[in-house]
Order: sequence, then structure tokens, then C-alpha cells
Amino acid sequence: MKIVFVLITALVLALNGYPQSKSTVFLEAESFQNKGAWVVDQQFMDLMGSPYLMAHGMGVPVADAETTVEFPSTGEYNVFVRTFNWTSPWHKGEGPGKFQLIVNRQKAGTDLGAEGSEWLWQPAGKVNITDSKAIINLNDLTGFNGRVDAICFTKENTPPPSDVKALGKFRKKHLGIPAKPEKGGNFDLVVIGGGVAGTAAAISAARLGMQVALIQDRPVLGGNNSSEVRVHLGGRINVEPFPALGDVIKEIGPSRGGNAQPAEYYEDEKKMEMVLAEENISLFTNFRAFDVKMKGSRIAEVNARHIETSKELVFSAPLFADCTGDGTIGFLAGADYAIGREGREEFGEPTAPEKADKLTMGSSVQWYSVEENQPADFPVFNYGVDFNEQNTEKVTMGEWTWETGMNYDQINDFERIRDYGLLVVYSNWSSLKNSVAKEEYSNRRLEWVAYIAGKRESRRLLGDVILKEQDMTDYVVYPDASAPTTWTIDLHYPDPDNTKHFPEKEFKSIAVHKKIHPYPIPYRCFYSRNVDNLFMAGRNISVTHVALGTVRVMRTTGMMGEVVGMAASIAGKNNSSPREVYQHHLSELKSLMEKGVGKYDVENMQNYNEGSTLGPK
Amino acid sequence: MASIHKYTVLIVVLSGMLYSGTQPERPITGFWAMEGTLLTHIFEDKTDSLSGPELFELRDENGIPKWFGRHIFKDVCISGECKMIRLWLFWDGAGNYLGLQVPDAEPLTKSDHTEFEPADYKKLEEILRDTASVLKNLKQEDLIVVPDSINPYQAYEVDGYTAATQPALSEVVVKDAVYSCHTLWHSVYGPVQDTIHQILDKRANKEYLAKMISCSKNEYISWAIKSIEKHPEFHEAFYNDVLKHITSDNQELAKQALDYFKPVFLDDSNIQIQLVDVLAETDMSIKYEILWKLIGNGKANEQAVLNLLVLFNEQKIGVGAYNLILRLVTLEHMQENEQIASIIHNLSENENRYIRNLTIRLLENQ
Repeated sequence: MKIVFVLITALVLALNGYPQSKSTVFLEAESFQNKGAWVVDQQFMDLMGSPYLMAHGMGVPVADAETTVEFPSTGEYNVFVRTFNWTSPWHKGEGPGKFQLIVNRQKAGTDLGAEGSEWLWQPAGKVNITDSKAIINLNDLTGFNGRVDAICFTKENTPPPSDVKALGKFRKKHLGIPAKPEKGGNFDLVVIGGGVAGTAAAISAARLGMQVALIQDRPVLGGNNSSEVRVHLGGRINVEPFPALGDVIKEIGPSRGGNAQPAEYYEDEKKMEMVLAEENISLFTNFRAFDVKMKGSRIAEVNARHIETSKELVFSAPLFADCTGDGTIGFLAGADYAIGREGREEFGEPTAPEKADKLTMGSSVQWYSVEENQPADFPVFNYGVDFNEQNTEKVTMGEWTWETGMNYDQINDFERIRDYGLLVVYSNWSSLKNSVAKEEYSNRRLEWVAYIAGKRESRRLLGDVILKEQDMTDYVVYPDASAPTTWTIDLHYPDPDNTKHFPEKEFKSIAVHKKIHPYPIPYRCFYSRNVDNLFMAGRNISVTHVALGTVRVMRTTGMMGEVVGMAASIAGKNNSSPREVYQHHLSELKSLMEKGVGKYDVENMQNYNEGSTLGPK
Repeated sequence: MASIHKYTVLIVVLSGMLYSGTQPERPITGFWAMEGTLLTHIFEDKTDSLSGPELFELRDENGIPKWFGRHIFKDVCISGECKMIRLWLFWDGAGNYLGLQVPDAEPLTKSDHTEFEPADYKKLEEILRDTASVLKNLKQEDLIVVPDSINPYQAYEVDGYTAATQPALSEVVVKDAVYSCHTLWHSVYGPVQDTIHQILDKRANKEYLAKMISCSKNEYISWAIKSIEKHPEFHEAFYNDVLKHITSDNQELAKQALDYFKPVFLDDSNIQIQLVDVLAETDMSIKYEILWKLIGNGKANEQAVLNLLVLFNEQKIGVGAYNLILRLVTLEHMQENEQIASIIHNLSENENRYIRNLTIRLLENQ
């Protein structure tokens, strides 16, 4: 299965796209044959309609992306490029993300990417196509995150539609994407999301005999623990009441800790090969789920789109697991969910605010710099957020505390949230390099800045039990006690010092901790209360905002995945729902949790970042 | 040795002329009852002239210090309210705090003038052993809470009799003796310790380091490793000794010994090979750290790679480290070393799918 998909992808890329209409050639940037050093960013495709290419050069222009396009006819074409000025929320004027479109080695139109406050079709002049094939290049001019969704060559005078829905139809038509997605396969369980929770869920179910599809929208597994985000694992594994839980995490987890460290720390290859070693898992990397088909209150199918080729596949199964973090599948299926903070009256939580609000924990754009033997320049970067002697952070790296978007919608404002993370890293660095610490930072070079933001919180899908603060502080153990949460109740707020300097534009956070005893989370937090065949594992399980503070660390979410895999195997075997596993097969689940699903006799290197607990109750 | 005695005698005579206070009485038990050769160092301590300028050293038959000791006669004061404390403080031959001895007739007392109980001495010992104590960065005026209405320079007595110890400190100091704890901690980690370090630093020659690194005391070995780090000219002579300590049962020492090997040292193939040689005998976390060091160097020696693969085949390194070992294997290794090629080939057919896949991926990517 895996090899087949590699071949299909290669074939599609070689032909570069689908049949085009006679007067219009629609070219998805993410489908370029050679992407140079541009990166594929799929994080916001549900919002703006598509993955895109981005010149993430951290201030150094990136190598050209290049592709060859077949034209249905020669002649003069109007050219439109879908892009925008990503700094526009903070800066009125030309943005930093400039790039050029080059057609057959000739620049087309003006510089692009520096205007517009939302995704738009920017005119790029006219080109004369004299042959059936043309070479198209994207030439980055700044290294500051210029972005291109698509390029449209048309003999018509009007650009493609701007409205996301209408544009979606236009894309499908001009890319020749079939109205009905191809079959991705029938499985016993479809796991959507290949972070630590989803990876563990897939491995667990597969080892218990289920045929599993694991759908992940990036080329690597591990999510926040991958080399793309670089957050280390947190929490404890192998603790009572089910010490075998965590054996999968022991196998896939990196052997050393640290946030915002070099990529090799996160051992992406270990996670990938552990999954590929499971014969029962079919792994679909680079596919993002975007739609579901329901049968009554059950999900019948999930549709996913390839983030480079736009190919669409449909996956069917009696059981699904939403490990997307954002609760995307649950949301599409109409599952009940919560977002933001509950008011104190709702659950009586001492830590909850008096009134409910939309505040969430934020997302981190982590970064680090290295010392070179010679001076390293960095361009002046000042796009609306002023950094000076008083407010510049005199640091050489930024980890979890660089956190943005607490007062914004972590789903619908996510591109802006990530972009603000980039903006403050670049602005602060520019201030250090060009102004307030020129000498001291002369030889330092910005080595890595994440463009995949590490998100902590968004939708929480609601299950038959909603875990709350007092369950843990009063140690209320439910009969379906399962994976343990061991981290403190660790909630983040805007850093008051940062607020002083950047009111309503904070980018630094503080953590407020409340210690707990290791507490076994009820299994009923791991399935939807109103979508009958939907499991959840990860930060989108059924908890209050306060309870999320402890369960959200990745060794804990991984163990949730192990439990979900076990429960799915029981549900599959008994042809029952996740709820019926609790109602009729709880003893079977307990037996599996006692036994665990570890396969290899690996050393336990998971003794870093275990967090501070009150010890066993 | 003889010259040191001469020097010492001279110094003692000199000290008798400079120091007009009474010579401290030496206990006949404990540290002072140990056998060895006694030396006296004279140093100037501007912060504590009452305690005298003498720093004693007792050496064993090999010339290694058993201890350094100083008589402390000091006032514990807050603006005029003072009491004197008298005791001996001792440091080991690496400058670490070793212990204290209080004259039988002059036990330490607290703010209410009661004597220290055995539990209080035990607590004090713990405090003085803690190199990172919270007392480190505190000034005397930070130790107690004084109500705003009270003049802090008049209203309370020594050791916080009328004012309360800072709540954050009350757990970590001897009750009602916060000033004594503070004074003694800063006596242990103050000019005397600096002087001991200076004395020891001057001794860092080949002969002395050889004795220190091969002795049985972990603290002395640790000192020797730090000294060799400070003096790269001794690297060649001692790196083999440092390597041996990577297998120490003492985790801290093993880690320090491994940390000694900075990435640049691993450019030496012999060191890579020897690190792999000791790897099989080390604790799990050290094993992984050795692998990460080799990865960090970026160019693994062929023999080191072969030895690692053999260790893996012999199951002396677990499956969890296999991906790290493969990061070290290059096409060059496989082309130039038949044994490596053969092991890799066999692993690409291993019955364990994880191992097999990782190996095949390596071959595909070369």
C-alpha cells in the first residue's frame, strides 16, 4: 500500500497536473516539480482553500521553485498569482514577502506578495507562450515568507474567483479533480492525525489485529514532537494503575529532551519506521482530511486531499479516531465540542474564570540561533511592531514561552496567529542584530524558526464524561480509569511583563501550575457523546479548559492513543460502538491496558521532562 | 615535601608575629585525630580577620590532602546585636565542604540562647553541603520579615528573635538560627574555599594529577578531570584515565567523564573507538550520550562504526538506539569495510521489520 502511493505521487508530479481547459492553465504552487527551498504549508487550507508554497528563508532568499507546464495553446495569457502581504494586520504599506514569477526565464509583471490584506489574485502582467511547454520559476527576493497558493494563466480578462468556496469549484474544474474521490480503502479503523496520539493509536490498534489507515497531513509523524515543531515529550509513562501503558511511547519517543533543539533530536525516522514496521497500518502521509460523509449519527467516510498533488481519497471504516488536535473530524461530523474557558458555575472549578470566555492557550513559533566564526547580517525588519532598547528580548533562542494568539480564534485566525509568531521573532532579531545589541550578536545567525506552529488548544470534543479540575484535585477515580495524566495543571497566560511593552500584542507567556497526583483519565473522555463511532485522543479529548492544562502533554496524549487503539480493537471484534465498550466490555479493556501493546524490548529513555507531581496517591 | 615543611615553618613563625590573637585550640578528636603530615598556609581574609590567617592542610603519605581546615571565630551580627561563634570548618582535597567541629565547651546557640540539638547540627550539615543553597544569593537583610512599623536596626535580636524568618527560608534553615546558617554557609563558600582552589590549581602538574585521577575518591577524580580540562596540555597523558571513569558507578562522575570529551576530541579516531569500547559497560543513558556525541562529531570512524554494529548484533545495545547507530553509517564505510557491509546486509534481512526497514532505508538513501 505504501509503495503504491509513492508511485502514484511520482507519476502525478511527473505529468504535473491534470487536464486543463483550452483558455486557462491553473497551476497549484504546491505541485511544483522542484520546490527549491520553498516549503509546503498546509496548515490553513481549511481557511483559505489550499496548501501553498512559502519562502521560509529566515531573512535569506530561498532557492527558486521550478516546474514545467503544458499549455493547451500558444498565445498571450494574462497571469494572476494568488498571494498577499502577510504583515498587513500590523503594518500598512508594502510587506516583506516579495517574490517574482519567472516564465521561460523572463520576469512576469511586477514584484509580488507585498500587497493585499487577505488572499487575493494579484495581476502579474501578460506572457506570450510560444511553445506547448513553459518553464515557470518562483524567485524569492527576501527570505521573509512570501507565499504563493496558485498561478493562473488565462486568455480571459478576469482572474479566478476570490471567494474560497467558488475558488474550490474552479480549482476542481481546472485541475480535473474527479467529483468523487478515489477509494483510499476500507479499514477497521481510520486514524486521522499522525501526532504522538494518533501514531500511538494506530500502532496500538494494528498490534491488536486491526487494519488501520493513518492519515497525516505532513511528511513526518510526531506532530508537535516532530522536527517541524520541536516540542519535547512531557509527562510520565508506565505508572499505576496500568503500568504497561506507555510502552509504545517508550518505543517511538526520542531518547533526549529539549525544546527548540536541532532537528535530529526529535528522531523523526524512529516514529516513521515504527509505524511502517506494522503490517496492519497503511500510512497516508501528506493527506489532509477535509470532509466526512455521515450515515445517521455515524461517520461513514472521511475524504482527504494530498497537500501537494490535490489528489483526493475516500476512506471508509466502522470506526474513526480524531487525533487531529483541532477536533477537525468531530467538527465536520457535527460532534459536540467546547472552545475557550468555561465559567466557574458550569463545572464549579476553582481555577475557572467567573464568566466563560474565549481565551485559550496559544501557539508557539519556536526558534534558535547559532554562533558563527564571522559576522552574520540580518536585514532590518520592522513591520508594525516596534522593538527598542526597553522591550527587545536579549536572548539567543525562543522556546515554548514565545506563544501567540491567546485572545484569537485558534482555528479561524490561525494563519494570523502563526504569522504574528514569525513577525515578532524576526522583528526582535532585527532589533538585536541591527540596533540594541549589534556587537554582542554580530556573529550570531538565525538558524531555525518554526513555520509549523505548535498549537496547545482549540476544540475539545465532548464525550460521555467531561474531565474537570476537581476530578483530579479531589482524586475522583472513575470505574473506567485508564491512561494517567501526571503533569501539573499547567495553564498559560500572557506574560504581564510582555503586556507592559506590547499591550494586546503579547507574544510571550507565563505558565501557572497546580500540582496533582498521577490521575487515571476516564475512558469515556476518549469518544464523542453524539457521533457514535468516533474516538478521540490528543488535546481534543473531552476535558474542560482547566483539565486540558494537565492532559495536553505528549506522553499523556500518546497513552490516550494506546487506550483508543485497544478500545477500537474491542469495538471491532464485538461490532460495537466506543460507548458500548464502556457499557459491555470494560473488563476486556482493562485486561488489554494491563497487558499493554509494547512490542520491542527497548530501554526506557523517557526520563526527561517528566514534570512535577505530588507522587502516587 | 621537605621544602614545603621549611616554607610552612617559616610561615608559622611569620604568622606568630602578625597575628596577635590566641592560637586556636585544636580538638583532639575527629578531623584533628587523623594521621598525616600537617601543613600551614597563611592567607589574608579581609572579611574575617578574627578567625586568623591560618589554613591548615593534612596530607596523606602520597601527598594528597585529607583535608583543609580553618578555625572560625566570627560574630553573627545585625547592627550591633552580636554573638560570637567558634568552630572548625573542613574542606576536602578538592575544595568541597567536608564537615565542622564545634568545641565541646562552646556549642552553637540559637536566637533564644538555647543550644543546638543534634538534629540542628544535622540540618546545618545538610545546609552547608548544599552548594546551590538559597542562602547563596541572599544578603543578611533578606533573611527576615520586618513589619514596616519597626526599625529593623533596633527592633530585633540576633537570629530573628522578634522578627520572623522569611517564610520561603524557614523550611531550609535551622529554626531560630537563620543568621548562623547564613554566616557559616558564606564562610564555607567564601574566601577560604577560593584560597584552597588556588592552592590546588598550583599543584596541577602531571605527577599530582596522576595521583588524583587514580585515587578512590570520586570528588578528587572529579577535581582532576576539571583540572585536565583547564590544562589541555595534559589531555594526551590523561584522556585514557578519564575514559575509564565513564564506566563509574557514580552517575555524576560518569557523566562528567563523558562530558570531558568535547566534539573536537572526537576528531581523534582512537577516542571514538575507545568510547565505543567502554559503551557496552555503561549505564543506559551514558550509552545513548556516547551515540549522540558520535553523531555530533559528524564523522564516525570506520572501526567505531563496526564495533557499534557488532555490539548491536550481540544485543548489548537495544533496538531503541538502532536508528542512532545508523545515522553514523556512511556509504564510504560500507564500500571500504566488508564487515560493515556484511552486517548491514544481514540487518537488511532481519526478521524484525523495524530493524529491516530502517536498514533498507539507509541503503536506499546512500
